[in-house]
Amino acid sequence: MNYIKVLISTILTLWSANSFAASQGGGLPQMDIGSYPSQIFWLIITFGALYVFMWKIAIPQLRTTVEERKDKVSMDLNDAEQLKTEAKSILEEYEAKITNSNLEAASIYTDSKTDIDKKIELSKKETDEKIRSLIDESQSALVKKENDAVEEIEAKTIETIQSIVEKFTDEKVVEEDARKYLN
Amino acid sequence: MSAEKTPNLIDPIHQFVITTIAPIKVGNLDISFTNSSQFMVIATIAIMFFFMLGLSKRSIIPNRFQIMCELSYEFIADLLRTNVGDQGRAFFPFVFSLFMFIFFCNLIGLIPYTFTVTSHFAVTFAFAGLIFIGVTVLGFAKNGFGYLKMFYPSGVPIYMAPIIIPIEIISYLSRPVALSVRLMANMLAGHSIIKIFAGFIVMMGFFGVIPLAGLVAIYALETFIAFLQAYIFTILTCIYLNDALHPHH
Repeated sequence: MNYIKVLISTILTLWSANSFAASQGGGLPQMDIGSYPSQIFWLIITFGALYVFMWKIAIPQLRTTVEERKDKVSMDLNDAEQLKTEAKSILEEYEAKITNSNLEAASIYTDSKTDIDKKIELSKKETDEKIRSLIDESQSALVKKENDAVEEIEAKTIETIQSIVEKFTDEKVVEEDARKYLN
Repeated sequence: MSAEKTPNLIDPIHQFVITTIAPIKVGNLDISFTNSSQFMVIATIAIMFFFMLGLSKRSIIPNRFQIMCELSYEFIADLLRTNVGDQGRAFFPFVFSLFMFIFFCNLIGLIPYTFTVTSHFAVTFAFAGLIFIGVTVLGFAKNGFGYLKMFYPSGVPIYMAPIIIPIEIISYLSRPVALSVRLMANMLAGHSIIKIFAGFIVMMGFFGVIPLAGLVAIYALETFIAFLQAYIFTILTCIYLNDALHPHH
């Protein structure tokens, strides 16, 4: 593409250079050796100035800027890395603490549970014994009362039997005889 | 033929004519301040202004101008590092200035009514000749006569030497010519074509929209070529520098 363009334009240039040469009385301006000293002289001055400017001002500033940025970026990355490891260790610490306290809580729970269970057991036993003794007591009292009542009834019955027999027969019945009729 | 009718409009060469602004003479030497010198000064000041603007507030987070400055700096620094290596550091100011100067001259030349400094053989050959002489001197200074081995690549059988050595010498000597003509011819051709197309637009009246579209496309291409030629000039300079510093290829 480029070569074709150069070829075409060279032909066109040569063609028009003729008309130019006819009108101006010269060839291509590029071939005018008389202009060379001026071009080269001003090229040396301008390019020299540019070279000194680049060498002494632009490039050092560019270099420091670029390097400062690189330093800053790598420093920031280092800082971030450090913070990351720090955060990690803190997280680990935190997790360890949590597991520890979980274990502690579990042990406290089991301890207090066994303690309370023991206490409950103990008080249960005590209460049971108390209740049992109360039951025994009242049972014996009941039995005694029953016996007393039976005896009383028996005595009263005998008395009644004696009095009935006395009334009908005018005979005194002995207690032992009356007892025979009881059952 | 049409050139005869409207000579000033279609003449694509007129833009390359050097006109004197302030005549200066030292002895027999004419070093007048011309339009060429004027645009060299403009390009130099533009580059300085560009960097002053970009580097005025040097900050960690750059603004747009600073980004452009740093991009151009790192672009050329990378170019030099990959092509020459660490030994090329000393030549960085020159290579960077060279790239910026050619690039700005090419770009400024694309603005209508301006003058393209790099379209002149004297300027491009001055650069190419300076690079050629500098590289040759550097090559001999760094390698002594070992630099001559460049003309006889290792591994080539001895009976090939009579053919290879002249070819290598010719290719070495043609470097400055190739380097300077490439840049100058590209600028000359590109600007001539733009001028010719612009002439067609005027000549064709209403149908001038057709060459106008072409002109826009070519203008875009020329903008790219302005960068490309500056890049090629710079990368070839780097390659020649590398040859001088490490001649055993």
